[in-house]
Amino acid sequence: MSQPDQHLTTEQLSASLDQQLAPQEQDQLDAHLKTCEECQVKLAELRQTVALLHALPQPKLPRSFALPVETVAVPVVTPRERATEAVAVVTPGEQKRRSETPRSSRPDRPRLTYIRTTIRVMSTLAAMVGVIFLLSGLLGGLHTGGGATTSASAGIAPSTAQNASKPEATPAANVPKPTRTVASAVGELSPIASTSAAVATPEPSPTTFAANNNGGGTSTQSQRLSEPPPAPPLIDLSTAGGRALLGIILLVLSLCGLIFLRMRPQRTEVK
Amino acid sequence: MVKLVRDDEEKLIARSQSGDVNAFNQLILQYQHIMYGTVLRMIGDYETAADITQDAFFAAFRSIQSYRGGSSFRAWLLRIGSNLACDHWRRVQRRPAESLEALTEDDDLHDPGFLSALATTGTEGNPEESLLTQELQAVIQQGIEQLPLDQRVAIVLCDIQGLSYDEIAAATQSTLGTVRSRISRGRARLRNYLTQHKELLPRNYRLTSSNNDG
Repeated sequence: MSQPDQHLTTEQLSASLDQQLAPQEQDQLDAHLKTCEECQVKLAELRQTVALLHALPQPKLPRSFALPVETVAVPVVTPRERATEAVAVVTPGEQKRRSETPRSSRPDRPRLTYIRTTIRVMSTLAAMVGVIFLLSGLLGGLHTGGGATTSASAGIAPSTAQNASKPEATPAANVPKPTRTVASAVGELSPIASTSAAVATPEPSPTTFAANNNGGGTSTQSQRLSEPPPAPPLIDLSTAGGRALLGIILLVLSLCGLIFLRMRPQRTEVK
Repeated sequence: MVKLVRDDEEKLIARSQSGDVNAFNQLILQYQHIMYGTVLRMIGDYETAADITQDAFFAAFRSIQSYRGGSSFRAWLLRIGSNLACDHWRRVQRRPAESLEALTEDDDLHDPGFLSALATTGTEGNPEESLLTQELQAVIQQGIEQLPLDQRVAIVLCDIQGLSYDEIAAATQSTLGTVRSRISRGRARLRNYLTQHKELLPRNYRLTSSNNDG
């Protein structure tokens, strides 16, 4: 490679320090070094640099880096308490899973994310259902609150139904009319009420017309509407109050879940 | 430190691959010194080095399936450790000093006596108790940290941890020729750095090491 009269490259000199030259190359290098002081100095400097690096002491271990085995043999907690703590928190489950399914290459991260995603999904679902309940509770409250007006228009429905289909509506006319308004909100009906509702609903638009036309009819209907109060315990529970309460409970639950999610990453993401 | 017989190591690796943490911990006991030492020399911070070392062993255990026997297990472990150290270094975005950037990797004339004085101080005697002063160690450490990452890994593995070129090639996933070139350039840079910073060195090292520091 190198001619006897040519200076040696740093790479050649460096490699010769580690006996990385082919025998022939090494011979040439030795031959050149005998006559070239400059290359001798270079080689000596490189050797000294290596010697300095070699003389650096091996650092003392700050702790054992053994991995925690299940719950036993958790490594000694030293300066970086947070880091080891996080590690200790993660590993027991991790190890358990590994011993169960040794073939899976990266078990811990997915597992954590599974837990997190399920919590997230559950809490969002709870929040959604809670909102729905809350809203329906509020709407139910509106219905009962504005009962006089809505039931007035709605109460007419049976009367128009009476005109449309006399046979069913007339016998049950007194009972179903008031309950129907509630029925539309709750969905819980006595058999008679459901039949009347079934009769009434097919024609919703005529009812509004009827409300406008039959002014006298409305007053009688609203009088009948003042009858429902006898049934309040059941109705109130399943409408406004009950559902709003359920909705609030669900929302609180979902909030708890979200807060829990907020807490977890902080602990595990400590490096 | 008791060296593991190669057969034992292979058994431990096989057990680790089937999920045995205890077996892997025996391997850790064997290699934690070299792992920590390598990471520490690369980044120069004790606490971070400890964290990275721990991370590296976790990562190694997680991916031990990917270790194929035959090659050096030590090199495989150190590849994980040095990669994590490099990642950390890039994240922190410490850049080499400009003074060094200006230096050529090839030779200028410098004072050979200075380096020989340095080198003779620490080579004999117990390597655990280096004769290099804290200050000199710090200067060398600084010099290592000034090296580009590829050269730094090669230098630390070769000149501090004593790995063979083959092992370094395996640990850095490069060819023997690349390893040779990186080591050579790293040494040249480091030599230039040390001669440039001789004023940082304690006086007794620039003379001879006859008067002791204590």
